[in-house]
Amino acid sequence: MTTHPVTASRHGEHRERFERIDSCVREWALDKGSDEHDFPVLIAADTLRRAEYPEAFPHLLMAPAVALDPAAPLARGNVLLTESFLSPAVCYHAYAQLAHTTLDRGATLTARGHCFRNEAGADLVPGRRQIEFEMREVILVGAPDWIEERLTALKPGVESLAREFGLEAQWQPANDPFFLPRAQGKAHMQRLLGTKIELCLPDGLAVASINRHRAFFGERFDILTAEGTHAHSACVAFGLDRWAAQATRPAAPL
Amino acid sequence: MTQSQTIPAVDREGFAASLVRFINEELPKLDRRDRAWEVVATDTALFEGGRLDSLSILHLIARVEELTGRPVPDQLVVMKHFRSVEAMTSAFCTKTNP
Repeated sequence: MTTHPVTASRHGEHRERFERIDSCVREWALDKGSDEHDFPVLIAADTLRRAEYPEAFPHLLMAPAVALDPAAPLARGNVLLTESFLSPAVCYHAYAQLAHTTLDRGATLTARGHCFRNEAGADLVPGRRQIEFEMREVILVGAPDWIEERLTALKPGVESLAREFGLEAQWQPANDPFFLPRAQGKAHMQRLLGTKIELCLPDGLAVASINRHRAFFGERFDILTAEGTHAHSACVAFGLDRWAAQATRPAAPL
Repeated sequence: MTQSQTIPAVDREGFAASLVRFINEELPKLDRRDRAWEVVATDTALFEGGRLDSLSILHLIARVEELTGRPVPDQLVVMKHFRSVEAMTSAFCTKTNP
């Protein structure tokens, strides 16, 4: 297995295990009624601004750059940001896609995507923390009661998938690594309201998470329910690189 | 923080009254959303209906720290300690830390 900590090179047996894991998670997501999407690696800067990502996680955000002066080498001092960022998560694409719509019923989407976060170099370990990694997410957008019903139904499935690959893990309350002092309150709120839980291995490594956003994205992307209220949202996220690195049991071949 | 550290001399009634006053009178002034604030009592569920937001909780923690004279560790910022003023009083206004 060759896996560079900042990218996600895979080949041979490791690649097969990675794909087998995603295939199982994908089949489960589709079986639960998910509509499958493919989203690009790049995400519009405006989408992340609307999601307030640059304010909450400026330390994690990564962006492609072009040469300010195309006649000179692309190097420090000759870079220009574009109107795109590198996707830090999959689900933001879904909210942008549903922006300014009224849902006649709850929407369930699934997508696998490359994600980029500017993690500290000292923390980078292949299969545990990488700058580039892949996630599969199941994204729910709809009325609050519907979201809770769906999450209640999906949660045991996440546990079963983990067991299937030999991942002995427990749900734990969690919060995102918000950066600015103002955003630290969001971390406190996540713990208080139980809006983020992670499925953690005994050493604390999170392999999946359930994130309740309440009406945060519904308000910012103007997504309405049939009742005319802002839609709530949630996502179930699987860190595929971590699953592939930590799995101790091979599942059925593809 | 050790379990045996004591807090400044603030009695339970004074602690609770100070928090209620802070929530009803000071937090609305600090709120930037220009919304109506319902008056809370000691047993009011503070986090139902979006009454408090992510900025409010920071102010509230700071107020508890002022009253107790000690920082509130992140691991104590959980719902059972912040559900209401009563819960906050029970958690933080004790002779020893929770």
